[in-house]
Amino acid sequence: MSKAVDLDLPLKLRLRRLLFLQGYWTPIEVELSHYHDLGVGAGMKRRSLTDLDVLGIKFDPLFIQHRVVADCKSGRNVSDANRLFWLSGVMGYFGADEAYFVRSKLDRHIRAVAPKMGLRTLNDSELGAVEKSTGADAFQLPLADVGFHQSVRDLWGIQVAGGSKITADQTRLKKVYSYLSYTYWYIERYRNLLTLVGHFESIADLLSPQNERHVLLAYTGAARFAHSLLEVASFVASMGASDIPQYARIYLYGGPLALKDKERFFELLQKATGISEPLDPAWLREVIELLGRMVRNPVGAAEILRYLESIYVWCVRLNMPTPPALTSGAPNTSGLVLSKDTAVTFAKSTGISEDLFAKLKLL
Amino acid sequence: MDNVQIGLRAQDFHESLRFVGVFGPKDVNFKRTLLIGKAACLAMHLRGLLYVEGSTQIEYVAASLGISSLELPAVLRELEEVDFLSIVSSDGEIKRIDCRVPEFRSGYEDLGQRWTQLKPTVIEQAGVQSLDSLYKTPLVLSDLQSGAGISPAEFSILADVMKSGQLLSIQPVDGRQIAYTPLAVDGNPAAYLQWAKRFPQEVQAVTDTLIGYQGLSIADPRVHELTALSDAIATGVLMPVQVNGATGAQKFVFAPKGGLQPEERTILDKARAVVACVRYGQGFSKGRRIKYPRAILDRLRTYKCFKHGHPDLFSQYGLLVENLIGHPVDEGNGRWNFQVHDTPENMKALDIAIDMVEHGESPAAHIDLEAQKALLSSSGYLGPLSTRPKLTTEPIVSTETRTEIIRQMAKIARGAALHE
Repeated sequence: MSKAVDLDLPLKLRLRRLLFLQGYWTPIEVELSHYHDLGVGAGMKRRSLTDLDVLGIKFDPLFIQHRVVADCKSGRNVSDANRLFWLSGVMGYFGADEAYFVRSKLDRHIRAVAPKMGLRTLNDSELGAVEKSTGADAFQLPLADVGFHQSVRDLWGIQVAGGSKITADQTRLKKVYSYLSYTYWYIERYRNLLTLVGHFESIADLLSPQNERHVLLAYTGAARFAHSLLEVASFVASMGASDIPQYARIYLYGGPLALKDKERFFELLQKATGISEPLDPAWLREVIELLGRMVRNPVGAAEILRYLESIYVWCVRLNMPTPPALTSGAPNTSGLVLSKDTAVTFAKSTGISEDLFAKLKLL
Repeated sequence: MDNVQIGLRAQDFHESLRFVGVFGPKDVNFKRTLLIGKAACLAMHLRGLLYVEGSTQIEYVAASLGISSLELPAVLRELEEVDFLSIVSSDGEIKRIDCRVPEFRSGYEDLGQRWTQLKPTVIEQAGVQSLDSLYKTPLVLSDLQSGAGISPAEFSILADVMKSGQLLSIQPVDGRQIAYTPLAVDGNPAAYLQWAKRFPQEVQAVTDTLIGYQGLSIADPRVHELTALSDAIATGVLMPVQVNGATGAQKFVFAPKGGLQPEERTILDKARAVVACVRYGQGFSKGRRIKYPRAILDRLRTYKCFKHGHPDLFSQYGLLVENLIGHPVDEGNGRWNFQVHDTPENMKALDIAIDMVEHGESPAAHIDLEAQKALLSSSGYLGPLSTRPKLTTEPIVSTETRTEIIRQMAKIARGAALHE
């Protein structure tokens, strides 16, 4: 089911393609939400705050994270000055290094104000010139193709036929879609790895390799899994990477004191119940092994996110038998191998079928 | 037996029998154990690698590890079964091997489990069990046989195979045939057997204690509590490694490890020296003590030096200078750092030291450096190298002389000695 036509979409996709070629993983239309407590036993309610047109994330081989945010507007009824101030706030919220304001046409006063706010501007023709100079206009992946993008977007989410009720299985799936679309960008970053695996464990029995929607969901999950792990790697690298398993645990449990608290809690739990439930989930040891391989192969690790995104486009959607070329240079075999490793470890950790990544496993 | 021990013993079988030619009893009765042993041996060499391109390199490596090209597909299949690798093929040819051999946990657990799944014969089961028992203590031959739980004919096959690979030796002691494994003996078997005779019940406790904590200080209360352990030190069955640090000399003992080639022995001695120095830092340092030995060893392995210098480092790591593992670096203000010489032998010694601290056993002592080089080189197998550093015997000298030796060796290592 196609959604209403988004006039800004071509600009968003073009900027996304440009950033992708510069090494960024580029989720688009990231929605920022806030969750407020409805009281004891009543759960949380999500309230949408705003949405971000393009988010670019990349990790360099030192595992330093770089973020770019962008606002792309083509319509007339837009206050450019307001958008600039809004973008400046979003940039701060996301901890972005750079922000782009992309507009079909740009007034002079906007060009004068934007640099003072640390923002970059591009109009349609300038974007075209950059695309040409970077080779983005000739890139083989159809990242800027509106029709292709719509065909993928149509696979996102659950399908409830008109007049019918949402089923229990669809409700379970909906929670995962909701987490990936909103909560992932809202909660403390260190919690994402454990939360993500928990969400996919809860729907492992529902996902079928024959279902295109499920394949897209699995690839999206694997990319978030890679992103969460790269954030762990970034923390581990910042600590010197001499004790990868311990530093990873410190990060994943929210810091050294929180880790101590949790260890103590599990000790007391064991004393109280006699049940030996370890703090670390069983799947964590394999994930830490993968983390070790990522830390020891940083050039490959830096490309996992882009490989997962491009393999979905190139091999799954376009049915190409060979790996996609991310740049015009030599292929990054380490990146490809680590992408497979990530997808397989994600499948093993969550219990979803590895066949959801059948195309990737052949590469 | 737990799965880790099964995996380790299977590797022992392969490594000890690899130089024994085609021999019916071995090839017919121990094929599953040898298969898992070969898989374990190859996995050990693939650990730390992300992938291997093509099939030529892996075939060269396998050949140098005693795995023929005909056996290799079966070995690779087993490693795929335990998910240590996946093979990417194109038109029936290996295009790439993607490796996932665990680094932070023991992969032997998976291999031991796989061995059980393969339904080994009763002779194989008895062989692996017997070797594990002999690791812990020598046994009267008849006791070994009855404990194996197999027929006399089957036991003969087992004994013949194990003897052919020097996994089993039998020596008369006081008129009784005593079975032991040379793999559990560091030095003189006669001294070992006499000691085992004196302490038949305690040998296993000593071995378990030392495997549980490699590099145990002889000042540790456990040494005095276990009479057999202090006797083994006094009679030369165990040979402690001495470290002369800031708070005086300390000695550290290790679980015996036999069945090594001379060059492997050199590397193991280096690894023991490294662990002894770290243990000194844990228990006897003048300043702040080492809390995370694995982290220290990882640091040395990755960065070849410590994060910060320390006044104690000069004397504490002097033993490593003598073993040509590295040299002290003066950081000024009385602080010293230590620079590891980045050679394949030294890196291997650090890997073994990490294994010792983490897992107790040090199977990586069997790492074939030439095989590993072939994996890391783009042009395949390079052929054996003839020169290897030899371990010097430890001199008994004063602190002053020792300091001077270290200074001189440090100069040689820096390349400064030629100009003086």
